[in-house]
Amino acid sequence: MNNRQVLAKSAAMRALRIRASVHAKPWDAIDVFDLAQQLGVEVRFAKISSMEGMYLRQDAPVILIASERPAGRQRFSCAHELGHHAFGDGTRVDELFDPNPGKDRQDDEVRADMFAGMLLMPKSAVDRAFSARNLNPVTANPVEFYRVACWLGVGYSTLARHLHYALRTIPQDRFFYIDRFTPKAIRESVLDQSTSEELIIVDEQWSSRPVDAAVGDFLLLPPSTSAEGQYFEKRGDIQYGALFQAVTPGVGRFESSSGWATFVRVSRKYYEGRGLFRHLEEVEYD
Amino acid sequence: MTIEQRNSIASRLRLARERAGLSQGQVAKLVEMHRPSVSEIEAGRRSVAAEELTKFANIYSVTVGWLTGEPRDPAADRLELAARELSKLKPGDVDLLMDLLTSLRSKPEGE
Repeated sequence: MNNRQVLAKSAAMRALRIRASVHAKPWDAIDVFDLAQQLGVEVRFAKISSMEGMYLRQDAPVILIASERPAGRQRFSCAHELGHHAFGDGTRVDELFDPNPGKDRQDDEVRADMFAGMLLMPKSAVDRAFSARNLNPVTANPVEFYRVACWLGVGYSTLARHLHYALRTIPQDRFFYIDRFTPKAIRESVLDQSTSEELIIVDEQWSSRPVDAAVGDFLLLPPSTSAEGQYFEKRGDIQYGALFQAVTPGVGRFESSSGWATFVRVSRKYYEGRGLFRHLEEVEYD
Repeated sequence: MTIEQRNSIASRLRLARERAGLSQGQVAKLVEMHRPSVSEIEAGRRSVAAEELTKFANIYSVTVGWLTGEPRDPAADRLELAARELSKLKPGDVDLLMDLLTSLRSKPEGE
């Protein structure tokens, strides 16, 4: 085995072990911020524009995530930093300012990326994501790929890359085809309007984790879904289903006429603060 | 406590609250205090009791020492991080990052 294969194997095994330690099944989608919290790692969001994320190794470990990033990227960054936690990585601050990291540090970064991929998208979870929706990753269209990425909590392109390079589930020509479409273009084709807001596609196969949204995000749900709580406003029925928009932080619930239901947690847009508090409702209090 | 000390604690309490992602109303609910009391404390118009300071520190997950402006623990300079491209951070972001990191509690609550 070459060095890269050794890193990939240890990353995949550690990711599965971490999932097992919090009783997450290999085929489930996970919420990585909740997972970090369960492992005793504090997650904080901060407006530090030139950074994606970092891990502070100490008795009360902390993961810091840049607040102004797309949700999928934030989750991948958190999973990456959790990889550093899982492997006990950490370097003194002064050494980190060296623009030429040594091979060990470069390996730590590669391994943390591999860990993140396998933590968020283990093969069992990816297989289930497609099969539960009667989809085949080799033939799924961009909107269907986007739908699966929403459930797994990762970016559209991240899922496509993972399927091609790590899991080798889709061939190169299919990867190039899928990768030609941007998430923005897919959003606009589904919504039939130009928007800079996120779109989360939620279907009745959504299980094992709540839906996380930020104020302003659109949520596309199965037709005849109703919302509980004042956190969403319905924007109408479109070709693909019922369209809602998150309007204020808090925890609500969606329920479809078939009996399927899910919790939905809304945070402020570009939330800055402790992960623990991100879905707290605003308080009118004297 | 001098007025300067009280004002310094007040402004750090406000900064720690904002960094924790909380409004004054949310904090008031969490510490079971009236919102105007939180506002008065953060404006430096009301002194804060030691017990209240500990409560705030726990909610914000910062050290009481940072809130009271104690000299920085030399151990803070030995922070161990894993971070990509720290050398490429903007100078302002480096200061922000280091100030935030050194304010945080280094041990779990209760230790």
